[in-house]
Amino acid sequence: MNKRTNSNPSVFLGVLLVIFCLLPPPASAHQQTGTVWGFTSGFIHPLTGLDHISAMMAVGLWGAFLGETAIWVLPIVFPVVMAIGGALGVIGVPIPGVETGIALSSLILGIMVACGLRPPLWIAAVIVGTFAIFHGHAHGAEMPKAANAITYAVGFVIATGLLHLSGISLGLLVRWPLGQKLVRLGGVGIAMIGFGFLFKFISA
Amino acid sequence: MKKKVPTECRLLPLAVLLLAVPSTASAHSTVTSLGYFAGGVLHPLTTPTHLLVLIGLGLICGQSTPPNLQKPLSVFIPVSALALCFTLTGFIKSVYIPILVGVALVAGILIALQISLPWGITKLLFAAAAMAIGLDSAVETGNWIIVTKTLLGTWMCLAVIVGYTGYYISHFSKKEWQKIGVRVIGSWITAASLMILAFTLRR
Repeated sequence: MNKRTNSNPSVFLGVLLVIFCLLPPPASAHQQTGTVWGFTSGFIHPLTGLDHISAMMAVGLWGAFLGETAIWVLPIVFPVVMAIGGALGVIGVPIPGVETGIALSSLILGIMVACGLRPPLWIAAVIVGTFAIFHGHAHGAEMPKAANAITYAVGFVIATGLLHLSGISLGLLVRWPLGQKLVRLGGVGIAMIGFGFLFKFISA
Repeated sequence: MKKKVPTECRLLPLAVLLLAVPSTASAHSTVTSLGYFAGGVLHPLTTPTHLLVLIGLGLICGQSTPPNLQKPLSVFIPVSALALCFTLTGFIKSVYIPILVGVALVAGILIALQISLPWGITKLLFAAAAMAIGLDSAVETGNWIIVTKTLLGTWMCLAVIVGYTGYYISHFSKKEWQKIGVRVIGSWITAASLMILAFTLRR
């Protein structure tokens, strides 16, 4: 009886995995510039900070809580007002307490979601718009010098919008009682993240 | 008893070998190696400000149901052709970026707010956009055959982007949530245009 152990597919897969690990990564000796790098840099920027991500998700979650009109009003208002803040950051207009404002945005929006508060739509839009200024200013001021400004802006706006859409998608769970609890729990988490950042800035 | 090796496993060494093959070095832009017509076609697609304006115009066309393509394109296509022909004179090499971005900004606001302007004003917007993009697409080098081929590619691409975007957006935005999606994209165009304006003015 001739048993061949190497006929096992897992052995082949193991060998393949080892070879994958041995493949050399591309060399990146040069500074990345140009159109694609600008887009990538802009797209990644809102995704690299927990404070930004939590606030964007909270906007989407709150929009779903507020009802059908708010679902589209908030994600339209936020990017536009954020871009105004971003423009102020780019041209160097100082706004005091930007980091504190960003931390407060997570805290307050998280509380709104956690408590399931439903203020009139214009009040919600003012709250979201005010915080959007701080987020936009931070993004605009932190733009890498080497990045292509045009594609950076496009990537940054798309990533922010997609974060809102993620929040809205999760927020649609409010249609079910269990989902409503989960969304509120998410709001508690976001508020805690915001409180953590706020505490960090106050104690620093 | 001899166990049969599955075909997938027998192909694995070949797959590994293929992985080990070095990839092509891409030190130079691939656009230059294409034909001049294809280069012209790619020009609007690889110029972010042009693309922003063209998508904005397409979305404006698409927001109306049934699609209102004939009127805007009857202005956009001839004006862009005229502007592209004007670049042959060499008087204008490029257009000031804030002008292009300003057109995208106006288009974005109109889409986000879902405003349908009177036909005369819409015609002006499409004419201004066609003029700005056309004048910004000048070909700097080459004999007249090269320049003509390139400009022809650009002209066709401009019309195709606006026309197809309008047509498909109109057909795929019949439900309420789809219309909201178009308005959200309009707000993204507005936001991106605002940021680009700031970047440009900072310089």
